[in-house]
Amino acid sequence: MFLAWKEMRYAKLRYALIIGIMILVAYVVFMLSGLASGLANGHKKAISDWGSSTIVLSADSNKVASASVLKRADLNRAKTANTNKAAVGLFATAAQKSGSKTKTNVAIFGAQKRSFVVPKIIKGRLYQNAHEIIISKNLSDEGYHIGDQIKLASMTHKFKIVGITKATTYSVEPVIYLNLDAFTTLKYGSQPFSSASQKPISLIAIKHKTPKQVTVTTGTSDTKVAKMSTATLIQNLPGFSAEKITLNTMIDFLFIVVAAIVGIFLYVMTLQKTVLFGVLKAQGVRTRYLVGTIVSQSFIVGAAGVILAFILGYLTSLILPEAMPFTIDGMQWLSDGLILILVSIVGGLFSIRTVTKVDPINAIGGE
Amino acid sequence: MDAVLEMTNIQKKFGTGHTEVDALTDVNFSINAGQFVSIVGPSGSGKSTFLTIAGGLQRQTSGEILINHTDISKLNEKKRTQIRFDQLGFILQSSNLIPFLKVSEQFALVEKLAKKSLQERVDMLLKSLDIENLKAKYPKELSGGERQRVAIARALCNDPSVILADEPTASLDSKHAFEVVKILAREAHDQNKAIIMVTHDERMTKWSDQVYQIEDGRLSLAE
Repeated sequence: MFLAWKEMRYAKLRYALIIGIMILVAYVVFMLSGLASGLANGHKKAISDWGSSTIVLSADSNKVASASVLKRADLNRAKTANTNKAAVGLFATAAQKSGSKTKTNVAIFGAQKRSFVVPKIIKGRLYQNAHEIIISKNLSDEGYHIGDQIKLASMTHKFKIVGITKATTYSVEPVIYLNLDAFTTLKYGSQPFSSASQKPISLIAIKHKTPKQVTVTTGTSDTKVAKMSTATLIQNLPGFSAEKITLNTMIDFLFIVVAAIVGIFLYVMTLQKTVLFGVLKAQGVRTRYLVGTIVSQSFIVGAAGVILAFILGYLTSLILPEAMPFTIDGMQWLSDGLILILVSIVGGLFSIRTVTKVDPINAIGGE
Repeated sequence: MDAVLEMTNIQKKFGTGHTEVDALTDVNFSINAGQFVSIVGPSGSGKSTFLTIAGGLQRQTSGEILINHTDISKLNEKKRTQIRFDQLGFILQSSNLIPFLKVSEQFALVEKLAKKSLQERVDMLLKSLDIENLKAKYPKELSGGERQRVAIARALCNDPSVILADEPTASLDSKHAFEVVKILAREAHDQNKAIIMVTHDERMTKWSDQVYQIEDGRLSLAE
């Protein structure tokens, strides 16, 4: 470390430049990572908020929640405690406040008011009938308030906002919760159903410590169902995997770029020092110590770049526009940061062979 | 007296077959502690080969080389490196200083590698070489003569038995060159070190206890 530090102090400009490049690349990694987390959250947050372990969809939905149709009666087929299962209706539409011309796209979840999927109310109260709804904080930020009457889809009657939950999104839209009857009329209008238990829902969410133990019975006349983990459902949300893979590929590529940049820089620095390394080796300094110096330098470059980019990324997140889906996932940033430091050390390792090959004999008699 | 460095029947050949070159032929040499010996020869005479073998940087084709009674050519690379660090000091042509370390840090590095404090010895050396005031300077801020004095202190600081000086005056004007050689002679005597100086400049030999000449790989005492 001693030689590593002293050289960096002496050649300030060079090392400042390489750290500068490291900051820029790490910054891009953090921004992409934040964007990936933000977008992923935008798609899935409402669902991951449920804390469910298992989701049951109709088999022909191909794991796409919005394509799934079950009946309320199907809830009984899931063998688990009543408090741990919930029938959920899912619908996407536009909301419009009375007296306003602007419409806002929203994701609508229908659920019984006591079911575990209904988020906590932070203001107001829970809906008590099919004419009351609760909205997420991010929708209320767009000018929707408790007491407002709003129009949903093409319904003629109005819904009254009675409560606000914390901010959440589904398919990158703010969320409205209402009861199952409201959901049925919203999605199916005045279509008649033979009984309440025949009314359609989209999916069943189940919360269980050992998801494998949850079984869904299938009688001969029953709709075929597909049981999957909540994570699988999320992976299959439209656009979710495509966005994630795209951004993650960019990030992975940047890791390779970092290894290459740091590697080339330290390699050039090493080539410039071959005479010096020869002298040091002649003086009895071990190759291991010299290699250690280069590895320390690649670590310092990596760590300094990552820490400064971390700060820069955080400051940027404070001034990003609200519309940009950006979330700082601490664990994700930490692991990205560690990988960045690791790959810059890998870059430093490129020079080991050169250092090993320096022959101390060149220190004598050479110019 | 006891020889600290002893070379017996050293041969060094480079290449094979019709490209074979005898770099050193039948070299016999020994030096005691407290001796300052010069080896004079033109370029291509085998001076550098002599130093690299004496310094354990390459192995002879045949013959024996003992540093403090240990045949260093029989040791593995790691042990030879350790012997170079503990028992040998090098003073090189232009300088063996590290460009990005201040003078005081050159010694700090040796302390770190040796894992012991050399503070007293370094202070004594800096004083004796009259370079105490240069501690906070980088090598590039020093004159050629100052740089070689620091290099001498650097070579001596780990208290080696043998100092190998490769043309230490090559980059100096004659006034500073004489000064450096006088210092080498003085340190050899005062500190009881065996110092071997290789040079092509015969004027530099007048402070030596013994002068050898080397020509076509053969070493002999100068008349």
